Amino acid sequence: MRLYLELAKKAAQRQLAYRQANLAGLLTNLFFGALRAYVLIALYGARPEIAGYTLAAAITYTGLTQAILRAVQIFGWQDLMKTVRSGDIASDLAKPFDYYFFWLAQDLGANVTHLIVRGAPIMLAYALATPMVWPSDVNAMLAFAVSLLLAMLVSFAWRFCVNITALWSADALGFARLGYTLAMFLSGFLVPVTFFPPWLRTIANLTPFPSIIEIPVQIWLGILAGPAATAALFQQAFWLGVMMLIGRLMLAAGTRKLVIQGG
Amino acid sequence: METHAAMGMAAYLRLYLRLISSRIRSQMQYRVSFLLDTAGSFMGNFMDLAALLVMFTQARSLGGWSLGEIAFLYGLSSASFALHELFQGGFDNDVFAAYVQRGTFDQMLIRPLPVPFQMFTEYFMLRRLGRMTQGVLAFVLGAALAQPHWTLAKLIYLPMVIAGGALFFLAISIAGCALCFWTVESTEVVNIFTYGGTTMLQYPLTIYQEWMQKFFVYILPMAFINYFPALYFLEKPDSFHLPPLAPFLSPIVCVVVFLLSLRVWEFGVAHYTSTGS
Repeated sequence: MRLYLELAKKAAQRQLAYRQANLAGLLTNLFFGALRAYVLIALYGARPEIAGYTLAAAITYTGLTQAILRAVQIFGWQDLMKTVRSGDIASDLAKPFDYYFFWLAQDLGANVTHLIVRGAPIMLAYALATPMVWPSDVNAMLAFAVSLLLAMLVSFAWRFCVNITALWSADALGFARLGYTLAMFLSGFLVPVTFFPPWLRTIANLTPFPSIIEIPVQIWLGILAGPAATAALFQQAFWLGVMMLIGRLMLAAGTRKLVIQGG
Repeated sequence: METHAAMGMAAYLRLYLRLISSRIRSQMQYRVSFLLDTAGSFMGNFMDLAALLVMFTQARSLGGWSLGEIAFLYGLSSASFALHELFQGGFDNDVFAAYVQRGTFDQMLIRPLPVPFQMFTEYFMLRRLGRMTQGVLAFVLGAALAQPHWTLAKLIYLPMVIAGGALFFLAISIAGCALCFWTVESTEVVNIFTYGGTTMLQYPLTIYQEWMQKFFVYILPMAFINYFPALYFLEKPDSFHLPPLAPFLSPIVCVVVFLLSLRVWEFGVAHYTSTGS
């Protein structure tokens, strides 16, 4: 366990080293957040509510999604795949770690850092600029924290599956790009899943992707509260279990046939 | 340096075509990978359009614009942006930052061809046709729904507007790359104006805060890429009350901005000191 904590810490430090990039990224996230908020304000026009979201909730949705987008790597992540290409995977597999947790620890380390250096300032900026919806009490805050952690884990488990396909196909990157794009849409990152027409909502809810954005956001907004929030947390935990199982099975199958080229 | 002084326009064009076609041929070697990448590029942008369609299942207009009108606006800027992406070559912040870091850029300085010409031919991603397809799709959808009153003048003006918009986006990318001469690493801030710019232009400018509107009309006049031309194509009133000639200034504004960006680039090159490794 100590070793994994150390890995996570190292990944966090690596992330913190890019100070200029973090600041630039923060500005970009804020600019996009503002754009998305203005589009929704225009969409609401004079209407007080759309699909259960008040205008304040919709604006909070844009802030919150911008704040967590890096923590759940909504635009995708290819680092593991690159080690398959470069051959570094050979030495990583030989390290005295469980390969899955070796990546998970680093992923969490980097993404918690994103939450602090990008997420918190974005929420603060939003709080100063516009009225927002906040979790109603400590329980809701706690449920959100658990949900966000689960979201980060589900996201990792999904990205691991995507990356590990590189063991089979040289075109994995192309598939990955397609997959990430679809996941981004179905997660409710671009528009809340609740706004989807019913047939599309049904499709989205059959995938693990709402667990990555829609659920934590709705728990924050209080749209999912009490038993509904608990059920949603179980839904996330279910997808985490499924995606982890698939990822580990793929890893086992992949490493059994792995032939390292070059040296 | 005499060589390129002696080369005429036609010779440059031939060389350009030869270099680009070799880049295309090399990308076509990996057919599956190419198809997947193109599909990925298409999907990536198609999702924006899907988001727009989803939003319009919840409302009939957005800031006084109908779905068709916004898709039209969106298609115009997407087509311009895609055209710019296709032809930007090495003028991409990330690609160029790597040239500066690795010292590849030094090689360009000693080759007997103008540096911007080399930059345009250094890198060419055919997969970016995916975004183009998406832009055209949005435009066709917009035109079909909004049914603008097409005249001969409008049909002639349309390609000029799209090409002008591409030049404007190109100008931002070039200026963004010039920034690398000082920062050495790529900077995400440029994305605010490229990706952020095209995202912003997908919706009518009037929905944004007033200082943003003024900034993008008077200071960095990106409103000329699609907003003012769209007002003309769709015959919508101009809330900025610019002279009625404004929509027709687009290509001129875009060319001027493009030429300015080349000056910024030259200024950057003059200040360039190699990373030396």
